[in-house]
Amino acid sequence: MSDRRFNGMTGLIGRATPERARSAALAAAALVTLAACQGVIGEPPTGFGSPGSNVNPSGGDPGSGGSAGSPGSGGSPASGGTTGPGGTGGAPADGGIGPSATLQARIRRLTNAEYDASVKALLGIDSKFGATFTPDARQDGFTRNDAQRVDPVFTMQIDDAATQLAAQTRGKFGTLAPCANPTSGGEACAATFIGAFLTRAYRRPTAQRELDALMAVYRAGAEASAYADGIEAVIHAVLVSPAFLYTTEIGGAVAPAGATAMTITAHEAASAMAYLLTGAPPDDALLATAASGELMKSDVRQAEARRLFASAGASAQITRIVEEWLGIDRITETAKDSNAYPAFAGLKDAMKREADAFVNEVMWKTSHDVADLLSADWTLLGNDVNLAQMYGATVDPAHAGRYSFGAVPRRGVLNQGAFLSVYAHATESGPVLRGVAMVRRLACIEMASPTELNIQVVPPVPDPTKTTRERFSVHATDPVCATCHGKIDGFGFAFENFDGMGKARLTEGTGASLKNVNSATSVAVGMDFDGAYADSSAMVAKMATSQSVRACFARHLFRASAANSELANRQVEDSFLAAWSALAPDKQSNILEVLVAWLGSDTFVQRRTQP
Amino acid sequence: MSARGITRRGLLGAAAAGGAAFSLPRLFERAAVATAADQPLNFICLYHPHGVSAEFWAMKAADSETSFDIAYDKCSLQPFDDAATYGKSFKDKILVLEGIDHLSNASAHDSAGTILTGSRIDGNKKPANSSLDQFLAVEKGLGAMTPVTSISMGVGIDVTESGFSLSFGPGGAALPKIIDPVQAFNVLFANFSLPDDPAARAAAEHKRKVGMSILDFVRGEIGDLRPKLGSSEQQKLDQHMTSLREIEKRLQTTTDAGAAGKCALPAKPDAKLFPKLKQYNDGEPYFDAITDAQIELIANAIACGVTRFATLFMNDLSFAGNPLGLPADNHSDVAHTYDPSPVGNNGRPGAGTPATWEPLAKFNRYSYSKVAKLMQRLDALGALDNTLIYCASDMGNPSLHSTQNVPTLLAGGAAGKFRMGRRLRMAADCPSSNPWCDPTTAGFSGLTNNHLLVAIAQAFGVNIDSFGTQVDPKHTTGALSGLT
Repeated sequence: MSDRRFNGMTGLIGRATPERARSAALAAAALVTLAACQGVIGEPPTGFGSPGSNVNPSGGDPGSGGSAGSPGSGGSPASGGTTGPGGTGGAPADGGIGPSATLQARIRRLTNAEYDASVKALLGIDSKFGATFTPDARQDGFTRNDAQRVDPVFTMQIDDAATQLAAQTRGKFGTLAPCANPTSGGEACAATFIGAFLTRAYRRPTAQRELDALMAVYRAGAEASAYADGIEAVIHAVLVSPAFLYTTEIGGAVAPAGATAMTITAHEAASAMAYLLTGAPPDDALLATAASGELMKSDVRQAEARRLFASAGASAQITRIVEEWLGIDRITETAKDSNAYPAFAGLKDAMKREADAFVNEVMWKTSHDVADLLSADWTLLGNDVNLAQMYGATVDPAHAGRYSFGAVPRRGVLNQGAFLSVYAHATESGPVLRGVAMVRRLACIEMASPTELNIQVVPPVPDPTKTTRERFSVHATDPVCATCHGKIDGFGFAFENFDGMGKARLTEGTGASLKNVNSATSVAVGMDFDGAYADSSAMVAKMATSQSVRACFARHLFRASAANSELANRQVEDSFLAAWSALAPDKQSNILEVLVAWLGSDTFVQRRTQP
Repeated sequence: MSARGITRRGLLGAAAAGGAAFSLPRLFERAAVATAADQPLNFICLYHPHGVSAEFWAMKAADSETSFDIAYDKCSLQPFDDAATYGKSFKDKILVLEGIDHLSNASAHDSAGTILTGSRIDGNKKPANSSLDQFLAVEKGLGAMTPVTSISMGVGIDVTESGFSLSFGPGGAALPKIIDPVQAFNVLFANFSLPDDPAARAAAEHKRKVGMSILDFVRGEIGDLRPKLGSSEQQKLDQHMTSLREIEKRLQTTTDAGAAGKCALPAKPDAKLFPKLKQYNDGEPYFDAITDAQIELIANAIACGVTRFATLFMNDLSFAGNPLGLPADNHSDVAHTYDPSPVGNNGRPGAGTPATWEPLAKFNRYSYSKVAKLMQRLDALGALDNTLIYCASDMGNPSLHSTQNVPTLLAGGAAGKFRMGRRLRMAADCPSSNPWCDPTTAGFSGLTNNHLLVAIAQAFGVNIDSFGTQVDPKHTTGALSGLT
């Protein structure tokens, strides 16, 4: 049923029938009438920062954000972002990223992982509830986004979690909410507890009204019952309160009528930074910097960003962002036909471990450089000798835990098991899936999906006399299909020396139908890595040095950082790219430096108000 | 059991009082005046994967509308005429519809979302409108009177994409599915029973009061935040606020046994029966037990008046050693190998490969066995006659991923709104001169499930003439005839 649930581009596999061939031809023909691939982006726009060039998406509902749980619009043709009379009234650019286009003021619901981390920071309980909640809605692959909602099912789930967490906390009341004389002094103790607890839970100073409202909950809990019952009720209430569940980017006061621009508060900035860099709420040091107001200074934010990035909390978060960019976190949801790939089930966990360890090692621990991510000739396999064996990788005596590929053509994260398995079919490799992933995630070429183009996708008919590549080459023979597939296939065929689970191969088929595979390819998408390559490893080696790929990396990093991938934000994204292009080349590919530049920018703290 | 029972009318009465909290005696009062006659129509929709082996499903030459054999060897509809297994034959409680199309305009793998929406699926894998269950329960308010407005459940897959969802809110946003029977039990039943002893009852009343104070607090917080936001952001909080109503219902509907018309509280599902829940994460061997548990919960929730609207997204049994003895990869080795004769191939010529029909029919029979089990339980609980079950797959011929001629089954007494115990065959989609026609071809005359959705809405007393989103209004307008 669902082996291709996350495959964005194509998907049907099946046995040969004349009808299938006919359907494929119809699908190809359907493309004729429709607008095909959209223009290439990735080059920074000109005019950034000059007062006359301010562009703002005009007012109204941004993109698809209105409906609940929408997975968002990533990958749609770039058509949004009407240019309006600009002027956000903000300060001029600070030499980093300026306010010529700004994000919209908003609230953002925590992801499931952020919920767990927030519970842990607040209660000291290692919450696993997030994994039991409805999976995060995604935008452009990222879990941090604007599409997360509190719907009826989620409401029940967090309410149940709050009940259990509050009960689990009872054992800690002696230190969390101490009270010498709960019988007569319960109210006073509760007030003291609430004051301190709420500030941490809400990650900001609290209002008297909020404290009073929570005292009412305490009284309901403690009435005809015990002090601890009141405290338990308070903790339950806080865990389901909007100020805990959402981060805000709305500033400190209601904007005066007619105002279009505002600045978020220092505490909002602290939360935005902390959740971005550590996936968790701000620590005490960051809250103190926010309370002093210093965090509104660009250089202070940059210093805090470096501190947070270096902290242990950033380890898993940076890995998550990079994996969601490439879609390789989906390996946990990937399955293969056990007839075609009997070894896959046994290696899937090892592939996940490799992806986590390798991405973490490169992007968080050592160089932080996407070029290394894409082109490393080594990987980390821990004790997963079976995966090492599949790769033909050998232990690197010079680096503990590392395996080296040497002359074996397997370079970087895109040639590892996770990427190659996620972007493949259950029974065969997936040149279109892999190609589309490269187009969208590495080259940032915006391309509509077949359903957007009203195409019913039916894949090339299985044919034992042909290789997968030969079958999928049918797209290029039709001039209309070729509009998109001319871009897709050049990338995708480069991986044909790997099967559907990433095992290297020289041939396909068996017996009389044994055929040599061909991974030689020519990429022609109008970018600086265009050229002919023997295989995907040669291709990614070139892409690792590409300015276009660096720009695409930065663009996705922006979407993850802003936690918003909607078309309405493309103006801001383009502004970010323009400012990013002013960074030194070695910083452009460095995830730490790009994040520091973003967090230090005026745009990070400025918002436009919404009608 | 009576000490832990809950009353149908009590629950309805409780919810009917709206936002106000109220006392237990008032519930008794309402329960006392309830009669069976005003029991409302319930709706359950079930999805089953992999299309249909039409050779063992479609009407045979000797069958007529009201006289047909579904007990013959290998027939996938056997469970509906199997008194030995299900206590009685439900042949007179089913209405089998042949020739219904889902115009999803997407790969059939994304087309489950069309079953209850009648909508095309767009590039974001979303239908354009809400599903019929949500339309009736939420937008038309038919779920307002029950403790739980509606429930969306699944087996193994909890992602919210059109290919894996039946229930969709406004704008086609997929509703999350509850795949853990224990969680489903908690949502449906956990708060609906009270022990007899006064201390425990006082504790429950205290819990309710605390819960209400927490709700008040959260509503106050939302009310404080909302004016600071722009309109699209306010929508987020509006949905949040609406969701709190489910918590409130849960708190308010605590009631007691002893009144008339009670039903038994089902046992809490045994979590040990399904240590893993998720597909691709070792959950497959437990899907059968999960499905059974979910069906038991739905039957009880409907019978007890906890909710009137339920959807269940069933799954397959793709694992080595599955109880059907089918290949480990059901998808690739059963559904995709199906090589049909004309009846399974939208009327197109070709003899097909008979050996490929049986494995899929076997799986279909397994899926229908769950529907029959649901009917058996509803019947035992006295709710089958007031329930309409709509059962469909996302495709017809699975090797083509065809969204034409999808297996469509109505079941239950449907409160007499539909005449059951029949088989209907719609006109062919294509003229015999061109059996390869498709929805883009001039001669195409397929009958969409939109018409069925309109008819179901009308059976619920909601007088609409069209439902769903299609380019051509003829595909969305008008109730399917012949049902009543």
